[in-house]
Amino acid sequence: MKRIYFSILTTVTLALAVDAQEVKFRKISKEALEETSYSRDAEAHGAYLYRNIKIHYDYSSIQGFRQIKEVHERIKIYDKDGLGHATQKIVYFNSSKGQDKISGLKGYTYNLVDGKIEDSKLKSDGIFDEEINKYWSQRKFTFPDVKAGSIIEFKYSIASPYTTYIDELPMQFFIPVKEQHIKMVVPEYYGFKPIVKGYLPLRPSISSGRGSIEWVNKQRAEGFGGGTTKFKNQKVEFQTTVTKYDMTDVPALKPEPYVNNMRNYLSSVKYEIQYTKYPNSPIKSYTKDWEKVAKEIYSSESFGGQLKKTAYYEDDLNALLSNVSKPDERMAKVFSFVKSKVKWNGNNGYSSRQGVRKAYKEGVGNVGDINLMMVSMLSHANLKAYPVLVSTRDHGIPLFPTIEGFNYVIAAVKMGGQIFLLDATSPNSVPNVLPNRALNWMGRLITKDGNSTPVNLMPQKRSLDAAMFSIAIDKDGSIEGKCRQQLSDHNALVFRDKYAKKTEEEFIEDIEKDNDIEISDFQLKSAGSIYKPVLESFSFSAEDQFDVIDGSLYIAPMFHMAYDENPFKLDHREYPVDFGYPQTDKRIINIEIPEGYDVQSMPESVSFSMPEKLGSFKYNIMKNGNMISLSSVLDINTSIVSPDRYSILKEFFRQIVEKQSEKVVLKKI
Amino acid sequence: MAKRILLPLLVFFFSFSPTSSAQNSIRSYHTLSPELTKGANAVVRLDQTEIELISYDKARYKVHRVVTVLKKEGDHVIGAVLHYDPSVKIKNVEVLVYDRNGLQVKRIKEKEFKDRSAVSNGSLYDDNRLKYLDYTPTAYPYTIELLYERITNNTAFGFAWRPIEGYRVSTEKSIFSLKNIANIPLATKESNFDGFDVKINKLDDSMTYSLSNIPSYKKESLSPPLYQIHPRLWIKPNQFNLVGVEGKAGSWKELGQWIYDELLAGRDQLPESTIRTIDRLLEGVDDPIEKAKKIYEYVQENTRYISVQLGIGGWQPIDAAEVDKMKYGDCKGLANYTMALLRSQSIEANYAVVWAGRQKRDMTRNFSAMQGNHVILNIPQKEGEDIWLECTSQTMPFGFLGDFTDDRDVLLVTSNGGEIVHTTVYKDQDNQKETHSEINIDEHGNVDAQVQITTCGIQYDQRSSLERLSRKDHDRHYKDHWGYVNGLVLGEVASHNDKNAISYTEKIELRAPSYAEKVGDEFILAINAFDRSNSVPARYRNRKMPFQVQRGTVDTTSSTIKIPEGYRLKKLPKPLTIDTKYGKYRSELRLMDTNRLTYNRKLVVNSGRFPKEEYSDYRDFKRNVAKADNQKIILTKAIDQE
Repeated sequence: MKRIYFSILTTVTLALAVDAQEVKFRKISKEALEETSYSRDAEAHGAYLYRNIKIHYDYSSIQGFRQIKEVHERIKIYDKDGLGHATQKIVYFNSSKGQDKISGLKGYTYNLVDGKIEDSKLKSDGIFDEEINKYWSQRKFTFPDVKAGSIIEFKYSIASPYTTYIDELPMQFFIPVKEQHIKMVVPEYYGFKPIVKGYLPLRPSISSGRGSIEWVNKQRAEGFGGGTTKFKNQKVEFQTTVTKYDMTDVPALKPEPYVNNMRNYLSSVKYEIQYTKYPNSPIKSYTKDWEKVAKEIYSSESFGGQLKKTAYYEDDLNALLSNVSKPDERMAKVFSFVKSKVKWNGNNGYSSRQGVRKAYKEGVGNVGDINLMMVSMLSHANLKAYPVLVSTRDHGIPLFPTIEGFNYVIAAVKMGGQIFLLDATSPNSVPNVLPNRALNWMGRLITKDGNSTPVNLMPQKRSLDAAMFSIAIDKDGSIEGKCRQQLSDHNALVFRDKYAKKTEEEFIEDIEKDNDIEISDFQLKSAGSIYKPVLESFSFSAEDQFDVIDGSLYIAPMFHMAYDENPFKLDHREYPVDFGYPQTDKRIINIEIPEGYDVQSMPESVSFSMPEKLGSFKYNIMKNGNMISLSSVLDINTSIVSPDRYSILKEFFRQIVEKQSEKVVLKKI
Repeated sequence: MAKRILLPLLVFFFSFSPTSSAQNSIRSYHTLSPELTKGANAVVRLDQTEIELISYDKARYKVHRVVTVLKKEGDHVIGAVLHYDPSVKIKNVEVLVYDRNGLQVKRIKEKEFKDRSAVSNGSLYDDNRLKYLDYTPTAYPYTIELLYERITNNTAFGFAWRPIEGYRVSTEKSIFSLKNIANIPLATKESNFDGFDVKINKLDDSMTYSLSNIPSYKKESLSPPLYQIHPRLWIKPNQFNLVGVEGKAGSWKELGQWIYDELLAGRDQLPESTIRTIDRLLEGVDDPIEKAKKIYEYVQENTRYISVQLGIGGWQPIDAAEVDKMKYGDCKGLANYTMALLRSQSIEANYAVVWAGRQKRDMTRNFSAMQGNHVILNIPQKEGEDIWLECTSQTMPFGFLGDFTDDRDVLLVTSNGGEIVHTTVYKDQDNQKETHSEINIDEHGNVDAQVQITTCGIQYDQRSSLERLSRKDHDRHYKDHWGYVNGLVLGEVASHNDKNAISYTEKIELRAPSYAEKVGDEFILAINAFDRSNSVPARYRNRKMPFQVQRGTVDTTSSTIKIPEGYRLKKLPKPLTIDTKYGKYRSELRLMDTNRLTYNRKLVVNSGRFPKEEYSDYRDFKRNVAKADNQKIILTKAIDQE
């Protein structure tokens, strides 16, 4: 006798503990509507009064597990600049392969009218679905009847078949949050690990709970004279991990200058999948330690698989290297060959997007295509070459062994006890001078057998910007002079990238504009040979460069070369100052004293430095015959200055600006 | 061995194949003349647009475009971004890529184009989409050939040809032709053709325009926008279709009538309850202007700007009743709503279509085609005193337009048809800024100051937004504004926004450490501490474009300076005056008593458009002003006077 089992019904009851203090939808207090500003931040244009996010799983035998996110948010709008918050959006996955489903979107605007609470419902004419591209859509909704003082409130839930992926959970915004609760109930079948971003202290409470899946099995026994049907309740119990973030009075993030992307500093938590362990299935591990990460990446076709391929370039490369024997020359040849052969399409990624062979043929590729191809070629050239996983600056810092922590890859070559880092996506980059985007703390060098070591990506060597000026002054206030400038390492890279984008004429005009000078005889040496420093020279003239008062000349002897404004003006700073790389700024200036004049007074020579060798400044000035000789050297020894050193940095630069603006007085003899 | 023979054969084949080489000549970088590549990011080798006007509601474009891109900045010039919406279809797209020698390296089909929504910034939703080619060139220069067809049912905007496409783009050949198959009456406007060798060929049912070999232009500061200088052809049918609505545009009167009848009429109905609310709001108010003001402020308090543009909704306002319910709308919806509220109180108001933007732009007076990008409201008054309302702003004073829509021709839409009228002009002498400061210098050279800045006219527009900044943003603003003051410490900041008088007053307390610089026994300092005109426009060796100063200003400064005990002014400088056609300047320092000085300064900048030859004179004017504003004085130790 044959039995057919099939289930007809799926009900899911993942028991969720109901939070007693939970704020009820549509229960708005008059006091909240009467509020005119946020008590702890009078400048806030709006505030989240309440956020409640719940993530849990349900199960159906047709769809299997789905991840459900329930969202309930309440936002107070204090003034007209906060009206923007009355438009919200939900970005969701929507491709032919799988879809997130939004359901139960409800929203209300509340206003106080003549002392009474009035609400207006969000209706379908305020809701719009927009297909962003093939994969992503967004649902935008805008609330009716919103003005300064209104409260808006909405809730929805979103169900996703992608159970191993949890959206980043934002904890902080550009407006304050009065109260928020984020709760995740994850069945034991999933292991996640949190990756925390931002400066907010986050203290989740973690406990365990129980959940169960119940469904009904219909069992039909075939027999003589028809079958009999039996219904049987099935139940599976499981453990859950309950993670809760209960927070009150989360401050708004306030933008600051000299930060690339403020969003990087918003506090959030990203849960990354570690493993899945479904009933009656073997455990599937995603990542655990660096060894696993390395092995896993190597075993994937789009990474390790691409490193193995050699046939497509072998002939070309052999021809290229046939007469080159020195390892460093071989490295340089391969490096420039890859750069000339494949251009970067602007896309990041540590793995190969389209496959190295295609990238090679078409001459275009993403970071993975280009740099994995280079690692393979370098190995083929008998060099010890390895991929190094990198997280770019706008992607944050990877603290844990995770794959999602990385979004970029470069090549490393070990040679003569040294390590050389190479990135062929940047045409002007040379070994150990990586483009700015890749300069982000540590990378991870990985080998086939699962070994991995951290690699310092931050440049240790100071990039030089040294300029010599000889200047003749005219007592009408104008100056003429010559300048020779040398730029090395990252300064040279930045210069070359900028120069490549412009015509020489535009480039000169930019220097003229930035410095308020007029340039002639511009010459650029070794701009093309990227292994050498940039050498530029030009003659210049400028008017109205100093003051003539009562026949005496009051000259700030660094002219346009001085820092005339402190780049750090604000009193406090909460985020690091990012110089990109250590650097030396050197200015040597020789000024000819015009006939009939002599020095009446000169600034004093000084040198001072910041503690912990963060930076130093030396200023030397002396009279030498009919010349004034000045040298000003600024060393910044670190790439990043932490916010607790900000006041030191600000004062350091204030003193530099003050020193560089001090005057030499020349009087008539 | 066989391989060796092939090579010369190939060369032979190519060199004796005139059709192939002639055809490819514009696809090769080498055939470009140096005058077209100089300073250019890209060269339009060929832009051939053939339009068939099939009927009043259907036009077919055939575009054939060949562009040689010289550098990355020129990538966008290939033009492979094709906008469409429900009434526009794109067909038969094909792209061919050539290397610098004109050899084809790639062929790209339409399905490789990416497709995405083109909801514009600031818009909640619209139905625009675009297909675009995401192409990374492997080397520069390269050439792209793009072919496509575009079929549109919207003919309301007419057909335009701009053979000079933008800065740093030169044009080898641009051909535009239009075939009027249905013999629809057309109007044609040729602008700025003088000085350009535009070839024109007109037949009964078709016309062809072409222009060749125009080197690229670079952007020069203060130059008027390209469309005001460069050749532009605009053709419009006098009968048109706009998203399924038929219209007539024989004159502005006719087009205005159409807009009124088809897009506006009947959309001003309001619920009784709202009218009663307004009635109550206006109780006891008799003056119609005062009533209008109260209504405008009611709209500002109760609505917000949200843009949704779908189909005809791109041109037709949503019902006033709908705005009343939702409390939001776009410029059309909010203007129409305000108009409805005003009319409910028997105040006449009219809808006005405008080209908005800081760059002033007129609706073309004698060419009645659908145009404009914004809607404002007009309340007619006696000649020249009309009140204009910007209905999308929650903060603008009643009757103030600011630099977004000031001083330009707009289309007024009334029940009697359309009419071109001019918006408020903010005259140079009304755009004032007054800076008054009390400056106290101590014996270390530190300055403590109280500064009061009052702005009105167009300068009000530029500063009144400061009102809504936080303390931290104020700190940043003033430190940038007076960036030349090293180590500035901001004290109390207060402000008063007088929306009736339309003036904005800031009161700032601050400290400037070592503002007076110690040199030996003396102090040296710039006497104009808080109102310097430092910006000198860029110098051009060979200026090509005329220049314009769109809005004139009058800045006056007065300050009282207390110098430290024991010091005196070394020498009283002579007053400085500058007098040019571009503006005037005068500053004077006076000694009130031994340790008190007063400084007065006035800078007048005139608006106007000037030929390129005068640019260096204008620059000299600005330079001399900057120099005068940097005038220094010396304080020296007083000789004992006992």
